[in-house]
Amino acid sequence: MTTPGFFEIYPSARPALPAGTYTMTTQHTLVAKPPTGPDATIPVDDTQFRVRIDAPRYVMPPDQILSTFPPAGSVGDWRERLPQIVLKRRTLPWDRNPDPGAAPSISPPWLALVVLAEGEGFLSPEVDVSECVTEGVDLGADADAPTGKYLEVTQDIIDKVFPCRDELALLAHVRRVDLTDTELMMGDDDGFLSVVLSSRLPQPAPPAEPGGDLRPLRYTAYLINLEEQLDVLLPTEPAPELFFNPELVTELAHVELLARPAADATLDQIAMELGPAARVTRKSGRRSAKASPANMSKEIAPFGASRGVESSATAWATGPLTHAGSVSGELAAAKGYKTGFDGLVIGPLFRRTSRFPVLVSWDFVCTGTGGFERLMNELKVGLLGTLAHDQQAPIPEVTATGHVALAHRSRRGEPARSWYRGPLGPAPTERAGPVAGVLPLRHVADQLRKVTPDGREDVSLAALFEIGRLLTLNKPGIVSALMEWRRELFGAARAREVGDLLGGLVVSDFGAGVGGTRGGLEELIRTHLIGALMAQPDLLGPRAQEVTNPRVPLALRDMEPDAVLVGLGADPRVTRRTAKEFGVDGLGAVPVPVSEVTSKPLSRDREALASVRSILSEQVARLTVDVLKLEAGGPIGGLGSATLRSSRRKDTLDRLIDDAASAATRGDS
Amino acid sequence: MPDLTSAAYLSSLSAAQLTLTAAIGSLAEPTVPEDGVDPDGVVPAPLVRFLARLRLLEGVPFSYLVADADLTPPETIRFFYLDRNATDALVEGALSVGTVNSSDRVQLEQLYAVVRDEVDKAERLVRMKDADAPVVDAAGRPIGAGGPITGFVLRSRLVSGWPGLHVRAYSKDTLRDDRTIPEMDTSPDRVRLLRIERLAPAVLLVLFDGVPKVVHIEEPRCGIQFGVSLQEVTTAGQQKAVLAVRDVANPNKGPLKRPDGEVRTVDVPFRAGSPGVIDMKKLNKDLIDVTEAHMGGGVDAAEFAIQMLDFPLRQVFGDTTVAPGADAFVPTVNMVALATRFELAKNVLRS
Repeated sequence: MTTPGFFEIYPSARPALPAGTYTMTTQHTLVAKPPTGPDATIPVDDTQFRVRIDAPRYVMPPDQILSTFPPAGSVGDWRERLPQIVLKRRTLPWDRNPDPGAAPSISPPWLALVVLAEGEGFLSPEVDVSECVTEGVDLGADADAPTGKYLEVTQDIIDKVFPCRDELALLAHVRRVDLTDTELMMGDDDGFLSVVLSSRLPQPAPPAEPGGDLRPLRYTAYLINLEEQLDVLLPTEPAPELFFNPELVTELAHVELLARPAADATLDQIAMELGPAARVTRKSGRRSAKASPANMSKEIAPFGASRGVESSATAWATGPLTHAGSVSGELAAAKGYKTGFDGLVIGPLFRRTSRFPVLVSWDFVCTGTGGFERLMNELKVGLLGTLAHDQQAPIPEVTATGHVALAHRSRRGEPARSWYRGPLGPAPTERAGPVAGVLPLRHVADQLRKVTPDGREDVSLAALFEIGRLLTLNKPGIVSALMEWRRELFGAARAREVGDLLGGLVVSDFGAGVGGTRGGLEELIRTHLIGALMAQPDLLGPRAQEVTNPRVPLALRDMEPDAVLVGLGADPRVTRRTAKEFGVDGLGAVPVPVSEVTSKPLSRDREALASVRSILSEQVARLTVDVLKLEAGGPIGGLGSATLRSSRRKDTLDRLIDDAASAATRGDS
Repeated sequence: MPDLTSAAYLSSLSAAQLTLTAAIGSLAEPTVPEDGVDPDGVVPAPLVRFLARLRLLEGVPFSYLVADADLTPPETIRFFYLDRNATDALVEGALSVGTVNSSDRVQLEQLYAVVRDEVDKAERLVRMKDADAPVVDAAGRPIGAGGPITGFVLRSRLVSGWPGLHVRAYSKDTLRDDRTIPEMDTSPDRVRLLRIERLAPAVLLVLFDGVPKVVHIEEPRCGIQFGVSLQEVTTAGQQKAVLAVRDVANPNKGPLKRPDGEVRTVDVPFRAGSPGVIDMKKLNKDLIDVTEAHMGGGVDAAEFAIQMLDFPLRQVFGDTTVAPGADAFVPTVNMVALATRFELAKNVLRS
């Protein structure tokens, strides 16, 4: 186990047997020693069996690739870093022997990482593995996949960019990492990883014109199989120089291998590299350096030339295209196609090309943004609100507090300039505290608008309030959660009021419970109210039953039932027996003594009639006095009831009484 | 074959069962959700999470954070303090959505102090990855409300070209700038990150849970890298590169130094006419020729790889006038200034 935080590097990890097919033969020598006579050999047939040691050959299984650098598809300044690929199996670079002349113990790795800029090589689509090597080379039938990709390059690219034969051993090594270090371990199982390096530092394309910015250049890293083809590599490095010319980076590109549109591609397809405009293969010679993409980019046609004429696609180089060099080249080529003449290719020249099986490849773009260190050192440091030293006019109005004056259109449509400062400021601020014990809470943005002494408004907080509101309204889930919470708060408030009404004696901590925690009303009642009530013996204890019984008058409560029945005139014994035999319904049949009622009509009783009549007369007289607002003792007060009575006409009631009286008199007579 | 009915076997089985039961019983019950937001607070947990994220300016348009593009010119880093009143205004705006009538508002006003406290606590729980605050609960989550929040806006090609920058901050400047720091530093001086996010391809926003004294920005660690350092171009068309030499017998001691203290380097040879293609064989030989590097005579890929190792760069932002780790409060007197004063005093006395 390695020490955490450290890793170990080994020059190589060679398998005991390189990959391939082996025939194993066993031989037995059986000697018989009979008690008498000489020893005799018993012949036993040899056994042969075949063993195949497998290893990737044309395709790298994805689980074997732990990481690549630069990361696939990334854009960055990788000028000072060597591309590399980290593989899971430590013996992978040595699993095959690319050099049949060398013993497996000293043979170079069979894998090489080659980094080619756009246009320096051609990556094939999936083809049969027999086509993945240069013509005349045979890797045998041992293939790990039916199809694979190949990289086709001319000999000059091999001589310029590929590693030399004697360098290969330096470009692969084994790394042992601590398995607990997730960053270095990268998902490996045993901590041993193999690493294949490239010997080429990717460089960005030179500026389109002297003094301009370096342009991004797309590179592809290919992990290739060198088996049987070591001899095309340079045996050793030619005379080295202690410098290189970065302006020659794009010189090696073959313009035919750059993205090449088909003849029937439309302008859209060419510009967007879609459909028939995608890269196609073409074997032909290399263009002269004179017409290299770097030079092409300067030949930008006037914009007007493109008007309505699709064939003059070069005019598109004036458009917003970043890869001006290569794009203008492509489009120029497209133009050639459109006009029926491929004027850019000087002519197919015979060149020796080689094909190498590509196990894996990935793209990245090298930019000239400056290395990490350089950019870091040139970074301008300051607090927010600091303007650049060379700030161009108009210089924004910025205060020391970080407020910026911005154009503001009021709700009335008047133009104004107002102060604004976002949540980020150059100085610490004091957070607003409670006012009179209550934290101020604003409900509309206008409550946060302020006017500064210079007469301009400060809308910082108001604007942020509105943004917070809009961001919330943007999320229906949060809005519904807020409304749900509102309902809960109302329920809790109601419950608290109930609790307060019930008073401190029963549920002294109920109100506090409502205020302190959140939860449904039922929850509160369950946990607080019922519990508190249960603890009160007078309310929910044993006596609670009496409270809930039908009410019996106090006077009767202590009397015997028999006494009550006798008092009501019923025979207790009969009642009990009937109730026992016939139930409650039978009680209806129990005889109850009822007193006799006289049936003489009232109208026959003259005395009573006379008294009713006199009462009626008195009442009528009083009502009349009330209605006329006569004061008793006033001018009319002295009038006797008889006087009043005689002075008024008989009404319906009088007639009815009279009729009854006369009827009674008649009946009596 | 053990006897499955023996007393020893049965007793060991029951003992194992007891141990297992005890172990299951001692497991902590997951009462609190994973991110540590209290589920029984006054404010429902989903709302607290939303408000806390709003406090960390999630979703707030960039023009509301930096109102004028001139405040963050290209290739700048701008540090700032977070204005709590501004983030409170955001939260108040969010809460105003839930109030319908004036009784709602009265109710919410009474409750607002509790709401603010709960969101204060949750604010620090939003970013769990880095939960190594000084005061933490058993699960390593920070406890309580945070103090002031600071941060920076980095607008640079560094952000677009190096995705995954490492940002670290300390409340005390006690470490040497080039010290090896583990990825998850648990030092008590560490200031946690509340947020680190790319708002645009070239704009990085970072919020710190406190006021840091030192901020480290590190190149992303894409595993282990190999490379050389390019020199400034002095002659047109001649890009040179050097490689610092390490002692492979003591690779952890850093590059070799020359007697004058400069780092010992070798020039990197390139293949003629092939920009960027290093002549590895010659480079290896040049390295072997440096005797202090203790490289063997032959071709050794391991020794060569150690020489080519390239470590990520760390940029330290902090007070440069004080040496890291030095006591900032040692009174010092400049002797020249003192002498001038004495001369002046002498002149005054003489006249």
